[in-house]
Parts: sequence; C-alpha cells; structure tokens
Amino acid sequence: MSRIDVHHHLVAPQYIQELRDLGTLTPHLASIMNEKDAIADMDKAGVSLAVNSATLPEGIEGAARVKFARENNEYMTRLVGDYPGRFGTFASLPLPDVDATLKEIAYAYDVLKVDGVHLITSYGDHWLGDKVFAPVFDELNRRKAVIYTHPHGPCCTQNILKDIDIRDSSIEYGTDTTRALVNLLFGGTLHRCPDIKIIFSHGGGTMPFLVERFIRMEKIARYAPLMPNGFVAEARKFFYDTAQVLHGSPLLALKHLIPLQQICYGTDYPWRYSDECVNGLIKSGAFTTEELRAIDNNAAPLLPRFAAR
Amino acid sequence: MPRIDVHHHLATPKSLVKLLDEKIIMQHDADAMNAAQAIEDMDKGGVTTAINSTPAPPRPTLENRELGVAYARENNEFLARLVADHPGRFGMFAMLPMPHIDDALKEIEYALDVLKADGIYLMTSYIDHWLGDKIFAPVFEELNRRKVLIYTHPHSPYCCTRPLKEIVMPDAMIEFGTDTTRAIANMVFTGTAQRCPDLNMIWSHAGGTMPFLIYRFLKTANIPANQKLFPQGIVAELKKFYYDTAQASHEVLLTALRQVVGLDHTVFGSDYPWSESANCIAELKATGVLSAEEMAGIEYKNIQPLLPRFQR
Repeated sequence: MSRIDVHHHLVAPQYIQELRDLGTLTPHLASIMNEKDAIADMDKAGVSLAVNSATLPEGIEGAARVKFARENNEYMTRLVGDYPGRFGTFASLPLPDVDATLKEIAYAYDVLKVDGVHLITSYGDHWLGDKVFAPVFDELNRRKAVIYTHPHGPCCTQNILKDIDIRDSSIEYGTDTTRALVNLLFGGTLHRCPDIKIIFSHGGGTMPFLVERFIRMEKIARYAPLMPNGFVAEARKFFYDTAQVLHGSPLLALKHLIPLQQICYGTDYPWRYSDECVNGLIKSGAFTTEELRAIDNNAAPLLPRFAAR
Repeated sequence: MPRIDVHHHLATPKSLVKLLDEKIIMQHDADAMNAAQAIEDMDKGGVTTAINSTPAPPRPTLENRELGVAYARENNEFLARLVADHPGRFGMFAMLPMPHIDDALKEIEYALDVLKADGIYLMTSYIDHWLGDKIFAPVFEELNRRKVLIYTHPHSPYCCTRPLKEIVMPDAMIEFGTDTTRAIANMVFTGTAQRCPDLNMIWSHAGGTMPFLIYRFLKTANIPANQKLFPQGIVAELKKFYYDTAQASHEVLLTALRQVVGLDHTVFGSDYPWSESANCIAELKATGVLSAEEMAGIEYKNIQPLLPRFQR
C-alpha cells in the first residue's frame, strides 16, 4: 500500500520567520511546517511519500531569491536522505532570473538528484510559456524534467475584492493555473518541448470548467498545428493534482475530461491535512475505491528513484 | 413548446460602429446583430423568444458619464422597439449607465416603468468594483424593492485585460469566467445577495468558474468572519441564483454545475451572435447527461415563471 502526495509544502527552518513576516504563513502554519509534523500528518493518513516544494513568495527577490532556492533545495535533499522513501523534492528555481535558474537546474539535477522542479504559474506579468522563459523550458525539455506547477495571485489581481474576507487562493489561483496552461499550449512551448511532464495543481485551476472555450479555439489556423488532435488531446497529456478540489463538482469534471492515470493525489500540507484529503476524496463520490487506489499511486511513474524501494 | 434564450446580444447600429471601432466585436458579428438575422437564427434553433441585452460599452463610454447614459438609453429604447415590433419574439434586459449611481437609478425607473423591460442587465464589474460592492448598494436596494430579474454578463475587467500578451486569446476565454466568479463571491460574501432576497440573478456561462472552485467557496464560507452570512450554508445561497448555458453546453460543465446547485435553475442561453442557437441546442442534447425533464427545464420551464409576459 502506498500513497504519494505531490502537493506538499515545507520550507527550510531559517525561512519560517521571514514567511511569517511576509504574511505567507500564520503562526499555526509556521508551527507545523517542519518535517516532524509533516511525517506525523502523513502517517495518520497512510501517505508513504510526499514530494516537497518550498513556498517561495514574491517578496523574496533578487540575490535573496537565488539564495532561497539553493538553501531550500539543499534542505529538501537532506530530508530525502534523513527519511528514506518518505520525501522527494521538486526543486525551487529563482525565476524570473533565467541565468540563475539555469544554474540551479544544473545543481539540482546533477548534484542534488531532485525529482523535478517547481515552477510558479507566473512571475510578474509573465506567465509560463512566455518567450522570456524559453531557455528554461528548453533546458528542462533536454533533461526530460517533471515540472510541478503552483499558482499564486498575480500582481494584477492581488486583493482585488476589498470588501470581503477571501484569500487570493480562492479565485485568483485557479485562474492563474489556467492562464499558464493555456499560454504554454497556445504559445507553442509544449509543442517545442514534448519531453517535459507537467503537473498542474488544484485539478487544473479552472481549465476543466472552461474547456468548451478552448475547444472552440483549437481550429484557428495559428493553433491547429500545435494541437493536431485538438485541445482535449493535449490537456490529457498533463497530470493534475487533487489539492483543494475535494468536491464532486471539480472532481467529476476532471474525471470526465482527463484519463484517470493522469490524476494524482495532492494535499496542500500544511494548509490541508492528509486525512482530510483522503476522506474528502472518498466523500466527493467521484471515484470508486479502485480509482482512489490508482490516484494514490498515479505519480509513481514520474518518480523513478522511489520505484526500486 | 417554448424555447427561451436569455443570453442574446443586439445593439443599435450606432453602438455597433462604436464596438467595432474599439475592437470589442468583429465585422461578421456586427453584420449578424440585427433583428432579421437574429430571428432567422432563432427559427433555425427553435427559439421562440430571445431576451436581448446589449454588449458592454467600450471603456471611453463607460467612464464618461454623458456617453454612458446615452449608450444605455439609446440601446434600451432600441431593444424596447424590437420587443414591440416582433411580438413574442424578443424581450429585453435593460442596461444601466453604471458605475454612475444616480443615472443608473433613473434608468431603472425608465426601463421598468416606461419601457417595461423584463429585467436589468448588469456587468460583473465596473472599473475596479464588483457587483456587491458598497458603492452599488442603492442600486441593489432599488432592484430588490422592485423584485427585479437581473441578468449579468462578464467582460474584460480592468485588472486583467489581455494578460497573455504573446498569444491571441480573447479575454472571453479565461478572464470572463473568473470575473463572474469574483462577482458571485462579492455578492454572497458582502451579504448583498442575502440582503436582497427578492432579486433573481442569472449568472452567465454556467457561473463562470464558481462550480469548479466550489471547495474554495465552502472553505471561505467557513472562516469565522463569514460564518454568520450563511445560516443555511453557502450552497443554499448559490442555489438561489440562475445559471445560463451560453458557451457552457459541454458535459464537463453541466456535470460540475449539477453537483453544486442542481439543474433546476439552469436556463438556456446561446450567446448570439457568437454562437448559433441550433448548435447550442444540438450540443446540449449531445452531452448525454441531461434527462428530457432537465432539458425542458433548461429550455423554458426554469425561466418562464420569471418572465410574466412570456408565460403564454
């Protein structure tokens, strides 16, 4: 029995206070964002392996961002060694600094032996798929990388609903995933980089619910060559995690659109707990027991170093 | 059998020129936006009645009070003439010169008392204010007092206009859906929807992206600051709204929508001239996820009680 969590956040201890100061972490989140509490949470819900990604806010910039990526990647790698079989690593990259990112990719793969990289759906006003990121995607394609993506509230949308108590993660995150997915596909990056494998967070943001719009775009002359079998055929090549979509509405939509083997278990720890996610998936009614077992392990082919264990 | 289309766009010839100039519509859209071609399309799709609304005004018009007032008034009178000239075929959702509150209140009076509009059309946001925002409170109070049917339509919000600069991707594809979701959130989390229980509101395009983001809505409703807003739970509030099928006649969307609010407030919308009504009906039938009863609900049974003059 195994259960793999592809959406799991930790951060090196020396950054906890900074993330609290930036407002990224509440005191409670800060108190459980460590490997001991994470393992206890995983054990409660039978999560055998969690692939960590560090939460890297926009407020950490320039040289500090390069340092953040390096220190967190080294920290994550120590966890991989200290808890054999329990943790993997999606390496942080100091984007939008492309040169520093290329160096970190080399270090992360060649020295630290990471499982993949963690990209944010947009940096400033550039979404994944923009030309400025082309060297990064070319290098990731050359390495046949697994790319785990995570959304944020991009600059243009931060706290725009001023009268109400709602977080950017509620509406804006989902949309930003859709923007990135669409930009990568319709901008040609994925056509040029067929060897990368991408995991989109949160069931694909809002893409599945907007699929009819994209199907209508697939026949346009400039896009038809990028998706010879249509938009849905391309969308079905991606992986999608279940973090924060524990309801029959998004999960059935996803199931209708995407082959089961592309849907991966994800929690969003420490924002959500593992048992909450396991139970939420069951309660959604979207999947049979067998399908849920498959979802638990669908990420395994993306993580070859854990296969031997 | 009636078939009622709540999502159907026409505008005065003068407005079409303005919308063309600002590249909000294309020439072939403008060419189809007249009563004769609209009726031809409706006949092909078996649509007995279409409730017209005018596309959102270009920004220079929206931002200029005088231009905004004139755009709303001219189009409302134009749509009222179509109602009179084609008995039974057309209804109208009157546009308001928002965000200008005093003018909007005057237009409500004129549109409902003189032009006998079937309801009011609101955009999901005006500049950087979403429906539910405090500044719109007088408008919602008046609409609630009159028990109005509100039809909403998203547009390119100021925050997020053409964010993907390197690809040709109209804002309708991604940004419209999100703007509807923002407006829904703002209506329920400000408590505006709860304070205005006599309103009926139609959200376009199956609720934007709200049904897919429902888990986030449930969690947001549960934080202490919001709990007292939802004595019956947030889903009970979301079920009071109506949702149209314009650009949302795919099995994935209908399946997701059904899971959140059921389909007894789902209403047919075509998005003419951007879609052909016959195609919309064919697509809905082809989804394979709608019972005959649900289909009849979508075609007319769900909306007809809210449209007194089309109850025959």
